[in-house]
Amino acid sequence: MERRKFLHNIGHVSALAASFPALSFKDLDFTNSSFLSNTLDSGRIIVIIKLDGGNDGLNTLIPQDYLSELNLARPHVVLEDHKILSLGENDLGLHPSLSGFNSFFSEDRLKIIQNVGYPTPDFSHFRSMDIWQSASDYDEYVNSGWMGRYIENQHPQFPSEYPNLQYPHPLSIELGWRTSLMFTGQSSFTSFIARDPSNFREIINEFDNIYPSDKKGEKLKYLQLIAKQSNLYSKVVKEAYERIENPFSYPNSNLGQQLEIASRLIGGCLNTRIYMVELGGFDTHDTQVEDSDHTKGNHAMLLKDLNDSVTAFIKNLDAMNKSDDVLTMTFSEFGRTIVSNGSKGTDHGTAAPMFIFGNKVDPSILGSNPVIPKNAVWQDNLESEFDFRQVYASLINQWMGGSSNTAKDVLFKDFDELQIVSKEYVDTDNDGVADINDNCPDTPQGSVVDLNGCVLFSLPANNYAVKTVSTSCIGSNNGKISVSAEDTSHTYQVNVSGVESAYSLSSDNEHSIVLEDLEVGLYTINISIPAQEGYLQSFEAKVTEPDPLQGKAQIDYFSKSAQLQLKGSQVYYIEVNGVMMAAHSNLFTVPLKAGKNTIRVTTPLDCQGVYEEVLFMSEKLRYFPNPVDSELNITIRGTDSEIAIEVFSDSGSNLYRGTHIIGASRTIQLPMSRFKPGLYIITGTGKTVNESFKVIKL
Amino acid sequence: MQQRKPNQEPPIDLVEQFYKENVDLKAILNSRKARKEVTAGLEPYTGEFGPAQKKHLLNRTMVGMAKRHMDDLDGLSLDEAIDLIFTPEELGEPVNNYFMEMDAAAYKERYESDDVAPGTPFIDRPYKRLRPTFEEQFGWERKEAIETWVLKSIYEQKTSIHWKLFIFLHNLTPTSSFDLGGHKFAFNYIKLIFSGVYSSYKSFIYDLTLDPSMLNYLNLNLSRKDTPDENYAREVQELFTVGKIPFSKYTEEDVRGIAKALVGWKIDYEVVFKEGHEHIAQFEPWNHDVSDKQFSTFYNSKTIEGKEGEAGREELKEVIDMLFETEESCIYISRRLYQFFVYPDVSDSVMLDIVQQMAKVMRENNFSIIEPLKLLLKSEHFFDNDQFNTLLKSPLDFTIGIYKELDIYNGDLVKWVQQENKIYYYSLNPRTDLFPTNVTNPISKAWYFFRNMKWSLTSGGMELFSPPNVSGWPAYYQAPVYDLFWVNSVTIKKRKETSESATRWGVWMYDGVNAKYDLKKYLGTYSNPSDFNSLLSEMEFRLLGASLPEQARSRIKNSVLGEALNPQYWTDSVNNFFNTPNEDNRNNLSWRFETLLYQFHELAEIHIH
Repeated sequence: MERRKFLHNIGHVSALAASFPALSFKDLDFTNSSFLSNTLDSGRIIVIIKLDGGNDGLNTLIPQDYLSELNLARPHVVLEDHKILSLGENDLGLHPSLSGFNSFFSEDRLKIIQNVGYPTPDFSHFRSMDIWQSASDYDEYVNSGWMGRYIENQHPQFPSEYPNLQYPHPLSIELGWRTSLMFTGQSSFTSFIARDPSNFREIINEFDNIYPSDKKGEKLKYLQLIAKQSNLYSKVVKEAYERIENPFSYPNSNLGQQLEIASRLIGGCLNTRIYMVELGGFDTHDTQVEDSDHTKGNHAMLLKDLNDSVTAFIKNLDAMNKSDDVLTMTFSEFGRTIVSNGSKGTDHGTAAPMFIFGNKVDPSILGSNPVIPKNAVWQDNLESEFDFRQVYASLINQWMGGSSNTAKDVLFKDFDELQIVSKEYVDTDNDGVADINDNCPDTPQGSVVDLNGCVLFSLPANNYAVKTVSTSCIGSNNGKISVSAEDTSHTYQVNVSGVESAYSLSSDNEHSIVLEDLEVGLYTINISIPAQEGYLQSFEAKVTEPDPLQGKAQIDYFSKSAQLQLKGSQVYYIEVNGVMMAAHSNLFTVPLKAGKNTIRVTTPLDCQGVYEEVLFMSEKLRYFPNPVDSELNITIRGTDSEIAIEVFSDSGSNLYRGTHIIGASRTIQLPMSRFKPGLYIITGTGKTVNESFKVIKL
Repeated sequence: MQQRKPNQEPPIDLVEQFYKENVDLKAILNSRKARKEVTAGLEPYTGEFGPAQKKHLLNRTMVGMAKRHMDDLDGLSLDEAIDLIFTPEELGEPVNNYFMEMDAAAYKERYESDDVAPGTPFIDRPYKRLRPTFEEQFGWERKEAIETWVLKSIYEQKTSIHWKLFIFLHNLTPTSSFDLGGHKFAFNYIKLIFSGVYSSYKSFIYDLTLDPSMLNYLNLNLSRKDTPDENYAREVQELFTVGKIPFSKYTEEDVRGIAKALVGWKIDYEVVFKEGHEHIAQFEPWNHDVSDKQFSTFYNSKTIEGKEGEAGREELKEVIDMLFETEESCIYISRRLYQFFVYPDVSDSVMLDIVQQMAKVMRENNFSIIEPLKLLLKSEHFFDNDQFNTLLKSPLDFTIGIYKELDIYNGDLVKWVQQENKIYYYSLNPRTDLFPTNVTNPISKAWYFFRNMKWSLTSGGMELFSPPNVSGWPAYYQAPVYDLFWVNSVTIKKRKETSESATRWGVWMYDGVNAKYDLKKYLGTYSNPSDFNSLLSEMEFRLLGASLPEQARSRIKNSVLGEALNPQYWTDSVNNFFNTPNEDNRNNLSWRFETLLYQFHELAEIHIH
């Protein structure tokens, strides 16, 4: 790696920490209103209600212009005319259980889309639900969900780097049974399951099983406990849940409980953007209605649960001042047949209406009333007018946001948009300025914009890496500061306080420079962009004096090496017996030869000084016997041919000095008989020997 | 879309992490006290030897459970099963499987163009001393070649206890010296414990003492006669043979005595730079303590006479004899066997009725660990229902168990490719052109696959050949927590990542290529995969250590079968796929089956065996 590149890389890792240790990420630029740009602040939310089993659209939203045809075709289930709640528009009426829907419609808070389906409908629950969740064509099998793909599209690093500073809360929450296909991404589950927020588990997604206290139960209990504790999001979700109570109560139903949690989480400032809840039981092949009163029975009860739960949900959001932020949508895998069957039910059908609630919806009814044939037979089914993927694409573009390609990336193709969100609230580029006021409706994600929605030029502070890469010696001016920029689409000008000439960061230097020859001191580095008048970003960097070089050496006789412990620099030049080496770490092992070794360590900065050490790597002496009577044998390892032996008394006086030739046996004999009994110190010195030892003379 | 690449993370301190968790250990201990004990003894088990018993036997004797092991026991009686399980395996030899990973220049520099060809063994090759430190001498790629080879051997283990006992001995007598002496010393240690399984434990300890890795790990290599190093002298008693005080009452004087008797042995480093790998420890008489060593009453006041010159070597043999003359030695080893294979908490009555009897058998059979273990694994005590599924799986049992069960290594390779705004999911078959040769070459494939597995093990708390210390992993010995140590809030996430990638996205290998199990082959291991309820109960028995909790059962059913809970759609999906295994039919089935499989792996019950 060339040197410049190397420095460039260092800068990116540590620039923020080095130059701006106190920079909070609040200072980073992101647009608060955007859908998935963070989960730190509140923003737009979508709540999806999945109606499992195939909801009977014709008994939910009734085309009153076809009442006689309906009475003929579905006599077993058709609703009594006078009980239908008229919407007062388009000859449409609602099931009498849906009084809340009716109110929201009159308040312009309900969008109705009629006849939603897809070409060549499939009548299998499984297959059709897969198609709706994966957003695939009828003949295409895709094993990921559209919401999962949307989240992965917006968050390529999910889930390995989540939660994080910018996304402390889950991106999406499912309150139903478990991760459904809709939230299955291509390499991750994108949803968090929050069935019971006061008591979360995610890792081992399990109910509170009661285990016996036998050996096996002990392990299972322990696992359950650890799983709960290790739940990444449980703390924030639990806190949000416990922060607020719902002012209005919910029906005591499965769906009611799910939405009750959802509104508490939203009201408690959990900034999760996507929720899914579900209500099952819509597969009403029989006893869909009561014989005596078709507005009662299983379907009526389901719709009442749906109506009461959604009404309570929106009332609670109103009370919590959150309803502006939330869009709530229902869907089911299909509608039901036009013709009813003898067991007072209906069979799997095709297209059906979708309901979308929210303060910001475009309140008009989309689509024409379904056409009921005069003499309908069981094969007759409703034509779909809109593809459900048009709804998804519209939600992405008008509510959830992304780039102009996001909807196509997620849904695999382009679909014509429907007006779901009222134009005055549509903010395609997610810059916080609605399209109708936005002079620049396609600003890139994350841009800072002016009141007209046009980009105010700005770059995040972490676009730059400014770092002192080398200290300087006083008087020698060899400090270095590296400056680099991440965004390579600009040419930057760099001015340094006290330095006259200006530098530039451009593609010529890979947007990275190293300012050299700096003396000790504090420097202000101003970065501007000539093409963007008025733009300036300043950094401070300090060139300090280095610490003096310190060193310590420890000999390891057995591996014939010395370990050097060095301090003060990143690079050391080590000279051992005239051979140069460079070390990039503070610990370095150098080989030693027998005898005298000279070690000299320097650094690139002269003022750090020199560390010098002379190490003597002595050959070992072996001697026996000890205590000695007459003659001491001394064995000298290595290859020296002679050795100087000295004998000292206990008190230090030199009693003998002599040079001995070392023969092939490598053992010399030292006569000891002339010495008095006592302790003696004997030293042996040679080219590769410098050892001393003690012997006792008997 | 990028597939997630695992990170190589630093090992985790299991003990430290355990005590950070908010766990009421007292309550656990109290409930243990209240528990009734298994009273059955070592008498031969005479009850039914059915699937539950076979599974229990295999859970405890295989490294990671898999259906193929159950198949091997099909139709066998308990005695026949034990005979099969105690059949030794062959130890192979690692080969150069790293050739795709190394940068050509680095390869050339490190080996001076002298490396072996891809796929051929390298253990006997010298390597050049190019770096001044030992750490750098041991080429990381040869180290990983050895590690991946061991993991592959375990993955491919026969229905034999050999590799499980290899892990037992590695944990009991560990070294962590792979950085010293390079691939040769590492291989020597592996060979030693692999053959140690079937040899006399006593002679194994003799050989272990002189193993270069051990000479280094516990400092015998650096011991000097003026100040004999006590490290090995202590651990050979406390951990390898007679056990801990107060269980065994050896004294500090005994530690010093053994230290003196063993001073003088050292590593012969020359082997590192020559052809061949057999290491013979050197003995230096001049560095030996020739005084007489006097031992305490625990060793019957034995004296080991000091010996001069080459005769000093004999003192090691005398020390080993002395250690194994104690009753405590066989009791201690039998206790460790019991803890490893049955349950780590050993009661007084188990000590008396089981461990002491095993010790007797061990002594009567020339210190074999096989014989007492056979007795244990055939006993009423072992097959008591209360013993089943009572251990937390080690990271190795957990990870390799999932991989083996799904046979991921021999499965398919998959890759996401984005083309024309659409994401395609390609499998190696038939799109070989899209896959790098790193993963299609069968030799280097092993490198990538098992290296990833090694990373999973490390982050899960069990890096082979790098135990936390000489005592091995705390889960195997440290009372009273024992195997609970394996799981904490950090490692449980790693386990989740491991099982999630294995069951769903595939195991990351290289450059966005994931290894996935073969859906058709795996479903084919079930007797009736198109019958949802039959499949569910077969998976329950095969994968879980306890019955599927009722609420989990209905949740799983609901998530796969949907609102109507009608299993016909499942049946159709499976049949369509088996009849016409095209991409569409695969996709239609695969996310449902993965949802099913993955949810099993989310349960607490998957972690026990």
